[in-house]
Amino acid sequence: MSESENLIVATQAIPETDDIHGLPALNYSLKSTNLICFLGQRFNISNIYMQMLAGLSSPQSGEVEYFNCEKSTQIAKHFPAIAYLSHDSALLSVLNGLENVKLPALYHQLGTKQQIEKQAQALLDELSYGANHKVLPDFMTVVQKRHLLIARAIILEPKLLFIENPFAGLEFAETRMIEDYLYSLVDQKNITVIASNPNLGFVENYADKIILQSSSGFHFFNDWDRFYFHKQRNKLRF
Amino acid sequence: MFKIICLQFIDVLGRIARQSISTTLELIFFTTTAIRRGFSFIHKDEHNGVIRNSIVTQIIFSGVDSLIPTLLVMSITVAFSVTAQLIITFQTFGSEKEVINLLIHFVAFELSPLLTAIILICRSGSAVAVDLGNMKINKEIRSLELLGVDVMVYLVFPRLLGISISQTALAVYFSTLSLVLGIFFSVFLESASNFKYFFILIESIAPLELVAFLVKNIFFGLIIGANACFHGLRVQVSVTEVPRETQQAIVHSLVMIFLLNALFIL
Repeated sequence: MSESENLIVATQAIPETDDIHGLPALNYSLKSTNLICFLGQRFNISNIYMQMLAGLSSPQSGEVEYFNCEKSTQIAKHFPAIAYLSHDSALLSVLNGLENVKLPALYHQLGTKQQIEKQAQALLDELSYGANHKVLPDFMTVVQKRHLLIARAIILEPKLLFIENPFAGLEFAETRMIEDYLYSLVDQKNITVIASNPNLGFVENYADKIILQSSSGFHFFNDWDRFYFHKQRNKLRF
Repeated sequence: MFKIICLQFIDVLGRIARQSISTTLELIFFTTTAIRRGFSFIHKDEHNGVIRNSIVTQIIFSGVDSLIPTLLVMSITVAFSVTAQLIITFQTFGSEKEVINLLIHFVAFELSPLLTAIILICRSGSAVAVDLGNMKINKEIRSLELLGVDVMVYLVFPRLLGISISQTALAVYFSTLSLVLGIFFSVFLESASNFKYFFILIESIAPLELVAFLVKNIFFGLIIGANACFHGLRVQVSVTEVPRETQQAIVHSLVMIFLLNALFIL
């Protein structure tokens, strides 16, 4: 896939919601191999736009085009090219960490049992800490669960990973671990990562593109400096 | 005044009937969808071990785990208090054939499947409903759907199949034990001549009746599994919904099983 290829193109797209009115239209071309941060002063609104872009909900007006052809709003049709982790995603409580990571690959028959076991083990070995993955999720720390959720999503080798509020509930050191892990997905696995509502430190250090949603509309920034200037000038707080 | 009370009563009855019919239709649709999607998934991916493992796990949980502690004790008590007493009481004024008929039709084909189903409803049906309800609240099910995993195939279908197979196997086990042990007890309590019932028993079971017995138990298992999964997945956001849906799963399973049993007798 070329660097500039459009993965998702939103044209005058407004997400469908029951309770929020007057949302601005989004015009955006999402390109491959980027780390994109989606910021907004209201977390749930950023997530609503992310869900629309990922095909989890349909736009009430405008359109979203996927991979230069398909105008479908069902994630299943783009599966497994698009992976989505919502802020409340959870591991299956009856399976241990390793089994959780293997599950989607086994279900979709992406290889033999041995190949998937090897692949899952490799993904877990990439994690920057030594943890026991053969325990049930209830016995794991928040950061371990977050790591496993990301690993479970990328075992399907998606082109795009949408992740809502990736650092919510994490301590500083844990946040750094997830930050590095997300960056490694872009850098080493060529996965385009779109994160909503990350912390500003992450945006400053890693974001290739920043989308800022405000009541007046969307602002797009290609680097931190321009975003920071805009933020300071408009006295925005996150 | 009387007319108003009558009209209100009819109104309430109508609402209950309408709700029951709509829930039953939803349940039938839910069950057929799960079975259809499950079999088409297996047909498509014959070597997919995930579904097979889930079915085996469900059979172990519903079937094997309840063999020794629960069903063994229940079958011993039924053998002693029902089968042995029936033999001792009825052979004084009935023929051997009538006693055997009574044992086969009452103990083996009616009582045993019903008791097995009741145990399975209490043990597995409630557990499955709570399990799925909690998974729904914890967003585990939504997370699976986001990974392209069909919940009907991965969670519902193995439970339906596993509970059906377990119900059938356990009913056979329960019937056999309660008959065999009952004859033993009657030998100890009354006379060694009661051993004759063993041999007559084996010869008296008609193959067609045996098929009907198996079919009935498969349906019992489907009812238990379907109600448990259907009500478990009806939980939306609150933990307070879990006990309510579990209770409904248990009650609906019991009512449907007794109704189906009555239909089979007809």
